[in-house]
Formats: sequence, structure tokens, C-alpha cells
Amino acid sequence: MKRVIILLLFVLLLLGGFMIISKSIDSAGSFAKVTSTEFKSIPVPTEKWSSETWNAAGYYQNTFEEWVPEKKLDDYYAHRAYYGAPPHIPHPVSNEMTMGGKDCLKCHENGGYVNTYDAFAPVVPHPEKVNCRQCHAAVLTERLFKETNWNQDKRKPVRIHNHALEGSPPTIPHELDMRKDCLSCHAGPAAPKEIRVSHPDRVNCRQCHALNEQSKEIKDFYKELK
Amino acid sequence: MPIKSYLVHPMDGQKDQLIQKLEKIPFCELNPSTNEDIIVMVTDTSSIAEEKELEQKFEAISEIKNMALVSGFDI
Amino acid sequence: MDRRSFIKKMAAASAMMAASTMIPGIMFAHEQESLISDLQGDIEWKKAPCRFCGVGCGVLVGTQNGKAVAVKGDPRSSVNKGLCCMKGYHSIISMYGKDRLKSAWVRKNGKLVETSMEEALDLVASKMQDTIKNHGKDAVSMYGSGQWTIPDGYVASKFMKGCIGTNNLEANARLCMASAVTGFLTSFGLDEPMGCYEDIDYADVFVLWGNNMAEMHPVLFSRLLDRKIKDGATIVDFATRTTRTSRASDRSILFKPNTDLAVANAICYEIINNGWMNTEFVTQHVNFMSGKTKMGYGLEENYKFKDEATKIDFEQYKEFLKDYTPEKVSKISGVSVKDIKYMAALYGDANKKVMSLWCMGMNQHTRGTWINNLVYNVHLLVGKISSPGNGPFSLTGQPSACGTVREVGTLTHKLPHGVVMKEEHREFAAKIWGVPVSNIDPKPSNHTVDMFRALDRGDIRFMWIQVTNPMVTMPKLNRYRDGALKEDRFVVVSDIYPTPTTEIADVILPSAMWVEREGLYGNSERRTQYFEKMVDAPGESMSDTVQIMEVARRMGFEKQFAYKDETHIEEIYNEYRKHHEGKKHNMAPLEVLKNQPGAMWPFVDGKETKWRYNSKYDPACTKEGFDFYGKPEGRAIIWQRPYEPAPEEPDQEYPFWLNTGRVVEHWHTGSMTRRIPVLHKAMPKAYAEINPADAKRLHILDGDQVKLTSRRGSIVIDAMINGRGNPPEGMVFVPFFDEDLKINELTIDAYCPISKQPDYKKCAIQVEKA
Repeated sequence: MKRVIILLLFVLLLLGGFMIISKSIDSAGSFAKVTSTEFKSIPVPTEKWSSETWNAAGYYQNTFEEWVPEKKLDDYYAHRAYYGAPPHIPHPVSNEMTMGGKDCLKCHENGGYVNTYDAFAPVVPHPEKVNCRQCHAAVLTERLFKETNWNQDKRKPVRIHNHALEGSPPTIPHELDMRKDCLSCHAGPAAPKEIRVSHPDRVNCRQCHALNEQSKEIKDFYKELK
Repeated sequence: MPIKSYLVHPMDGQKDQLIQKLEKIPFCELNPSTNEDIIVMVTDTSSIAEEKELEQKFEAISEIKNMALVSGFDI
Repeated sequence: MDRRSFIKKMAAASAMMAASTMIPGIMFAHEQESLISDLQGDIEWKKAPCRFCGVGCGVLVGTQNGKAVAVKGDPRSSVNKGLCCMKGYHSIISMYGKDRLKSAWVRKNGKLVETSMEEALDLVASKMQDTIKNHGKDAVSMYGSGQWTIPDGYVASKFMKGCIGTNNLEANARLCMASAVTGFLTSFGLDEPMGCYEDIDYADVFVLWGNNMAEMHPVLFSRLLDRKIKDGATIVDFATRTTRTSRASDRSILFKPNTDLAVANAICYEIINNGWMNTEFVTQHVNFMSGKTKMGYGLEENYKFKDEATKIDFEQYKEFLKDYTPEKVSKISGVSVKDIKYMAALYGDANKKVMSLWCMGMNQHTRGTWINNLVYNVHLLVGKISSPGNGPFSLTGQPSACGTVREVGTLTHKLPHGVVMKEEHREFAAKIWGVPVSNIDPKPSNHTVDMFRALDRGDIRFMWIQVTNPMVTMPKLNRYRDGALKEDRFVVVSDIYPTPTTEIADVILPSAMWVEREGLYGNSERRTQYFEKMVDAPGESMSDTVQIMEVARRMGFEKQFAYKDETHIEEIYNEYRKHHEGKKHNMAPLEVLKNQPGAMWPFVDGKETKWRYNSKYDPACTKEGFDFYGKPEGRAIIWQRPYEPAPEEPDQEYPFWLNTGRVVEHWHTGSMTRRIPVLHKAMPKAYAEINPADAKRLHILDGDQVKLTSRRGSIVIDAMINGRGNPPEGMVFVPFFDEDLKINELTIDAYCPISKQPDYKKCAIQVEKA
């Protein structure tokens, strides 16, 4: 009798073990837990709109709710060495063996709240590029090897209040290279507060917002009468 | 009933505390810089007595390194 | 803003300025760049229709101190509900270009001499009289525009047809909407869509036939996208190249150029074969007809064509469609059988409301009338027409191609009501115009391409061009530019900026633009919109209406143009309304148009007719249910139209298709939008879109200079690979907004024989690295 009970116990333990292992394998491939109630279920798009994915459009309806903690434009710039630089990775990276890919995208493809860092993961505007660690450097120490003259604080951010007329839609002051997905940076809780857009459900962004890349010098157009 | 505007320089690293303190003072409107340690402040008082009171309050704040008066209107 | 806040703002501003002189690049949390406008009083907002495309968004123009300073979308307008596109938002900047024409110029011995407006108008009138005396009344001509306001077009029509008595009056809408017009007239007997934009709110499926709606009718496309995101509506993009629209749609189906004719017939075949036809509707409301085939392409000088209609029955039509099974059509069109059946199933599904939308892909087509007929055939076979959410909708390109060119009738054969060929129509027009009926010539003379050919040959010696830029937009441009420059041709151009057309002009008249004068526009959905004068026109510039009236008065027609200066627009509009009285076309009174963002016609008993030909919504119907009152027996026509290839297809020598079109940033030839810095910086130069596989084969990289050559001209232009649009292999796309890269030097002046509209989308070129 006792043996049966002990055997039963072991079987239960084994079963339990199997269940826990399989569950944890499943959840390792799933998204980070989202605690905010603002989010509806994430629709997977069947077609991509150029590289302008709008998977965020369906659920970033209420961008003017106060998401805490808030991300500011300063935080955004703090991660980048100069205008247009790829941001460094501000959190520890667990898997050194991988180039990135699914390991990074599981949080950065759709974003979401991350408990451990008490922050919202930013959405990457170029998820088709899967060799993440090629451009995005991890930060393993704050100490420098030798002193440098590179002045991190004087990077010139682009002007954001750049509308041509009172009330007209602001122009796009930055290059679109690798930044074709407008909503990844301009909508949602991980978007810097100053550039969060009030109308993320309008997805034909380039209908109203003209590309006036600020580093380009393009002279005005006029002709001599002849 | 003067309207005055100032450029306020905080002591090193004390910009945020200064802003918090100045926000509590009435008749003061703040416009801090987003990329430098400078705050633009506009004061709008309705009598000379209030103006004097304000000045005393400013002297009490230790986080102010330097306050430069830019313009003043006596109306 | 009171004095105290004024001073506080000044104080803050001076502190901020002091800070920025000490530390350049300093930024503040609350920017005060709009200090000026706050300080100088409030902005006054007045409504107007947008200056640009045929969507006809309602905008509010903000003026301050006599200058236009801001634009908002008009939230009261049902067209755009407060949203605009980047052209609309920056439209007012187009009035303030540095090289704006402020005075008249006359060319003497090859050089332009500034003259007063009065003298210039005297010269125009006297030259016109001389030409009529020496060469006859058909030696003078006028070429107007779908950007003419309704009064502009009306006085032009009255002047040319009623007073001078020539039918040489054409407009650039011939180059954009003529096929849509003939499509309507042949299928339904009356012009303009039977549905309205409200269909967008009810439809389940949107099929786009060869139009890049995301860039060309962006505000309407946003309404489609809204439906797609919120209600799961389906958008199918049926086009010859991949564009932003394709990428935003649920399904992008590419077809070989010109084979849309075959695919439309294949869809009809599928509908009948699968039993999806609405037999009741077809038996009661449709007649079947066929016309001439192998019509030619208008390439020969003095080419003439008249269609002949033969009545056929349903069995003959079914027999004809046997050549258009999906399998057969798939071979010539490159569209898979699955996709053809998919599209047919969308139309055939009785539970889905389908809206078809198209613009230049179908209209700028050598068989444009036919393809318009064929899309109507699809809708008529399934009975999906003239009801909310169901219907073919022909989108217009220009802001008033409908309102002015089609409704006022500034085309060689048209009168405001009816056509010059019919005696009762001539009598009707002559009575309202106050001219003897013998003045109106009963024979149509020259359509646009013919008019420019006649100018080249010398049959026309005088042309007055207003609000359009034919020296950039005529196909086979070199011939017509050389033609206009020949000896003894007198060209008068009314425009606002120096353009390639003013370069060939003998007299240049400065025009007032958009809200610098009172006017009315009519958009795609039959909505007439009024705008008042909001700012002064610069210098001596004068509205086109007044220019025409001044010349007419100088030629002895004071009686016909005896309108008072202050109220001339109102008087002209009220006179114009008389031509359209009746339940089928009544125009709303001016008071209504002044109070609301436009009103659709027919405007009957204070209500707009939103869906025509359906007795539930249209008081002009004479019987219950559907009544296509434009045609005998109230029956619409299903036309048997075959597939025919394009006149110039790629071959060994010229192996690529050349496709042309627009981009969202620029309007037409860019004379207005390129002078808006925001838009110019967003798109400064034209380019040639090349397929990546073709580019690789020809060793062309993105940004390389390439040489495109056709049998008529060549051009050196930057290549763009994987930009906003991707043509299929064997096709190149070039936008035409750049007057310094005139792509129309390469295009062919073949046209649809029925509509006389040229085909800008198909000709053959060579591509090589420059």
C-alpha cells in the first residue's frame, strides 16, 4: 500500500515537472507581460504597409492617458551619441550568443510594460533587421578607458515645433531611413512624451506631414520671367 | 505693479529642486530650458509691497546661484 | 489679448532672446514662436474649398491684416471632416511666391515689356478682332481649365459660343476627365456620379481601378482606411504598379497595361457564369448595346471618329464574353485566375456592398470610354449601383473639372445645358444669354489635341490660355510647343507665376488666385462650394472672369456682360442656374452655398439628391425603384466592349513601358506647390522609378542618372529604386510635376477616339545609364 502511494507521488511529481517545463518553454517565446489596461489584444497584420507597419494603430487609441513612467525626449536623446545614431542598449542583455533577432523582438516588436525595469519597451521601427547587436551596443561599464573630447551633451536635436503655418501639421524633420514606421516612436507609452501624436488612428501619416529633413539644404523655387 | 523677467541660474545640479521651490511661489511663471541649466522667470505683482515680499522670498532660496533681470515694466 | 498679458509675453520673449544670445541652441519647455500672431489680434477664419484636387475638401482660411496666415480643415464639411493633406494645409503659401506675376507683359521683338493691364487687354481684344476678320471666327480659340471657377467658365462659354460664335473652347479637363464623361453619357445618358462620398461610410469592399489613392486623393483614402481599421472593410488595389496604396490595401493585384479591359470582361463572365447576376435588375433596368471596334488611336492628322451603336441582346453579350474566361484573360493580363475570381466574387457576393473607385488609370487610356463602360457593366450586372455603399464612383482630378468644365460645358460640343448639335439646346442657351440663336455654331470644332494641332498647322491663329500649363502637360510636347512658337500665332496666357507656357506667350496677364477673388468650385461628388474674396490680389492682377469680361466688352459685347462690379459673381451664378433648372440638375441657391460647406446638385426643394436614379432618394425619377432617366425607357446600357492593345507597346527597340502620374506633395505641373517651401523640400526633383531587377540588369543604382528615350524625345533623370512606388519589370514611372524635366516630351498623343482624351500612361521607351 505504502509503495503504491509513493509511486503515485513520484508519478504526480513527474507529471507536474513536465507541465511546468513545457509551460516555461512556451512562455519563453511569448510577449512580455502587459499590465496596463489600455491595451486591447494585439492584431497581427497580414500585409505590411511599405515598412510602415501599423500594428500599433489599432490599440494606441488613447495616447493622451498618462502612462507612468513617462519617457521624455531627453531620455530618448540620452541613449544616442549624435543625431541619427543607433541607441545603445540601456539594460543588461542576457544572451551573448545570439545576434538579437527573436530575443530582442519578443519585447521590442510590439512593446509593452516591463516589470523588472519599470519601463515601457520602445517599439523598433525596423523589425525586419534582425542582426540587432550589429548596431546596438550594450553598456557594460560607465568608466572610460581614456578621456575624450567627444561632447555628448552638445548633440543637436532636430527642431520639433516646425510647422509652416499656425496650426498646420508639423513637418518630418528627420530622415526616414530605418524610420518608416511612424507609430513605433510617435505613439504608445514608450514614445517620448513631446512627440506623442494625438491621432494615431490616422495611419496615412505622409498625407499631411511633409518630409523636410533638416540637414538638407534645399533652396526655394522660383523662376525668372522670360 | 511691476512685470519683470529674469534669467535664473541654479547652483550646479540643483535645477530641479530650484524649479520645485520657485513653482510654489505665487506670481511667478517659469519657463525652464530643456537643454541648459537656465530658467526664464516672469513675475507679475500687483503692488510694490508684494514685489518686496517676492524679493525676500528669492533671497531665502539657496539653490539660486544668480538671478539676472532682463526686462522690467512698471504698469 | 489684453495689455498685461501682452507685456508679460514681451518680457518672457526678451528673456528667452537674451538666453539664446548667450547660449546658442538653447531650447525652452514652452516655445513662443507664435508670439507675433498672438500679439496682433485674432485670426479671422472663412470657409473655402481647397485649391487642389478633386476631393474638394472644405478648408478654413485664416486671415490676419489682409494676409492669409493659416489653414484648418473645415470640421463642418462632410467631405473631409476637418482633415486635409499636406497640399491643403500649406495651400495659402502658394499665393506668396517671390516671382508672383503682378503686372501684364507684352512680347515685343522677342523681349517682354511691362505694360498696364488696360493696354494689355486692349491689345488682346484688338488682336482677337483682327484674327476673326482675317481668318474667320474659327481661327480664335480659348483653352481653359478644370481649375477655372464656375463663373470663369460660364463667361468663357458665353463669350466664345454665344458672342463670337466659335466652338473652339476647350479646357484641360479634356486631358483628365473626358473618358469618364463619355463613359457616363454612353452608359447612363447623363454625366457625373450617381453616388456620393457617403457611399464610403456604407461600403464593405473598395476596389481601386488603377489609381494611387493614398497619394492622389489622400483625404478620401484616409476615410477608406478608417473603415478598414474600424470596421474591417476590404480594399483591393488593382493597378499596373505597386504604390503606397497597394501596400495599404488588403490585396494588391497587378495587371499588364491596357489589359484592364480584358479583366473587367472576365469579371463579367464570372458573374454571369456563377449565377451571381441580379437577373431581376438586369431584365428591368438594362439594355445591351455594342459599338464600333478597331477605332484607331487618333494619331493621324485630321483623324475623325463617330461611334455607331447597335442594339444586341443578352445572349449575344454572353456569347461575346466567352472570349474572356479567366483562364484566357490570365494569359494576356498577367493576373492569376485566382485573383480574377477573387475580384468577381467580391462583386458577386450579394451580402457585400462594393464601391469601385478610379481616376486617371482608367481615364487617361486610349480605350478610356470602354473601360469606364466595362466597370459600369460589372456594377449593372449585379445591380450594385445608386444605393448607399454600392456603386461605381468616378473620382475627379481637378477641383472644378466637374463644376466648371463638365457642368458649365466649356468643351467644344457642349452648352451649359445640352450640346451645340441640338437645336432646342441652342435656342435655350441663346435665350438666357441674350444672343441670337444663329450665333451658336451647331458643329463642334476642335477638341484639345486637335486644337493644338490646328495651332501648329495654322488653322488656329489665336489662343487664350487660362489657369493651365499646356507647355508642360500636352503629350508629345515638342510638336505642340514648336507649333505655338510659329510665326503669326498669337498666344495670350493668364497665369500667376512664370511657367513654360508664359515663355511662349505674346501677352501675359496676371491673374488673381483662389481666395483673392470670389468664386465657386464643383468637386467629384457633385458638390458646389462657394468661397468669398478674403485677401487682395497683388499688383494689377485680375480674376479670370473679369479679364474675359473686359475683353468681351472691348469687342462690343457690353450688353451680354453688363454685370455690376460688386455683384458680378452673384449675377453670373444666378444666370447660370437658369440653365440647370429642373429636378435633374438644379443648382443650390447662392445663399445656401454661402452658409454651409457646399451643396450637392440636384438640389430639389431644399434637399440634396445623394443617390441619383433611385426613386427612394431622387425626386427626378419618374417610376418606382430604379429609373435611369438619362436613357430611353429609363434603362442603363451595358456596352459590349472588347480588349484592344495600346497603340505603342514595348518592342525590341523600345522595351520599356513609360507610365506617368503625380506624387502627393505636388499638384500637376508644380507651378503652385513648388513655390511652397515645405512641399518643395519634401520633393524637389522628379525621378524615374525603376524596378530593382531591371536596375540590376542595367547596372543602375538608386540616384544614378538614367537616359529615357522614346520615339518623340528623350530626358536625363535620376533613378529611384525601391522608393515610394515600385513598377513591375519592364515599366518605368516618372511624375510630371517638374517643369525642368518635362516627361511629356516622351509621351504619345494617342487618344480615346470617343472621348478624345490622351493616354499618358502607356508608351514605349528605352532606358539606359546616362
